[in-house]
Amino acid sequence: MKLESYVRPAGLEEALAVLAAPGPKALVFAGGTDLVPMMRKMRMNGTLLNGDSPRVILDLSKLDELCGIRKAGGMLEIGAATTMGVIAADPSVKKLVPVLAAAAASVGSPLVRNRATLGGNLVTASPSADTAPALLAAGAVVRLAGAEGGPRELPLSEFFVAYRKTALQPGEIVTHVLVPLAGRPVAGRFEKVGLRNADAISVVCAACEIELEGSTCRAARIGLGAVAAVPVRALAVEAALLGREITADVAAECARLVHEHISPIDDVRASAQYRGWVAEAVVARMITDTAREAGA
Amino acid sequence: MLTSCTNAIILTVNGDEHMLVVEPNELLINVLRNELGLTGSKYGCGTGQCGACTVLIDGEPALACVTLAVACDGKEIVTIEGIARPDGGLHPIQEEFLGENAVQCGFCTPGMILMAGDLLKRNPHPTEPEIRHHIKGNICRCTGYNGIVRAIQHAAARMAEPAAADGPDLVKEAR
Repeated sequence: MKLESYVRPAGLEEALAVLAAPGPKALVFAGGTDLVPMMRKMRMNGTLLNGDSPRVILDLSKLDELCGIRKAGGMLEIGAATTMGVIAADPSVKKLVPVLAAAAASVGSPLVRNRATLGGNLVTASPSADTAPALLAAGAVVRLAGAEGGPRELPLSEFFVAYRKTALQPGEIVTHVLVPLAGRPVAGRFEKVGLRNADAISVVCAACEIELEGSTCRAARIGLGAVAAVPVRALAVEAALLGREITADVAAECARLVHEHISPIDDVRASAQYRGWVAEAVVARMITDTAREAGA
Repeated sequence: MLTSCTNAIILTVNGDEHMLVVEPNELLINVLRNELGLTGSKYGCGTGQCGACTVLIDGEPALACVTLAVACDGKEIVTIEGIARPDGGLHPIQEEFLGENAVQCGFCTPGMILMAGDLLKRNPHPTEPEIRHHIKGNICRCTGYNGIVRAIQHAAARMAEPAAADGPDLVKEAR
């Protein structure tokens, strides 16, 4: 079993047709920073992590429809094949969704960011994907397209269904990530704890956005990565913050509820216990810092 | 649709055009090293973590070990072999690496120099943290980072003076 051909479609419709064609599934490819190392393993046993045995590489990295950032319909619309480097440097992302700009800037190294794409970071569905908690905190929606029927949209929180498993149906791809613009800019924080300062995979990554009325919390969204099988929202922490005046004590009290949503594991990077401690500490600090930035 | 069954591609490497037939999963690093004999770019980790395979693709630094050769059809590639001056003299960054003894085993050096060039193109006067940030994806297992950073600082100072950069007295002996 081997990869037999390479296809670079001229447009989205054509890409979806290739994906819907009968026979072995095509391998949806963009930046390659995750997939190429995976393909090397595949050379040994013929299958990818998810059990697929693709024969065709479908390269979406040059599809104009999937590259770039624009405002449309009250949303910031980011093409799935937009690179981390472009997102991290984009003035609208930096101004309107700074948590995403910070998360994109923390992925890998400058070399990786030149190639790695936002869609790839989400579709790989690694629990430690750095952009996932930022986009969860930003209330993002993913737009999916397949050959049949129109595109559909799904809150990102419903996109990750299990460890490295997404809500994508066969023949579907992520075309865009949408962030609602209403109320922006909004105060937020992204934090990443790794084993070193360069090119690190997260031990814990987290992001939050908080809207204040005076000094009272009117809305809060908190996303966490690398502490559960999928990136998660800390809904209990968010609910506990509502209507509260945010002080360091309140932040610490609410952050304790983070354990309701996480189920960290031991691995080569950290122990489950350490991940739990870090998650709580990071959430408390993010809430305090964000509230301070928002003027509490 | 560009369906490639034969996967015939054209790569311009250091200014020379090459027609090649490659497997769909062939890596750019292997084509450069094995087909074209350009062994300056190194195959290190193979997973995009070490930066030894750094090349420029259409002017942008990229990891040749996680880049499919077939996806580079029609692109311009520059490797470490392509950055010397037309007369064969070394690039100022290369000279400063020699001058600072910023080369120990040399495995990371081609990637470091290409990343330094990329940084100085965008930011001619980088601070030390900016230099260290830009070479985050390039690992030196000899841990010779201090010399590398100094070499990049010296190169920045020299390259910021256009007259000096083109002068005939550029080539100096390694200390």
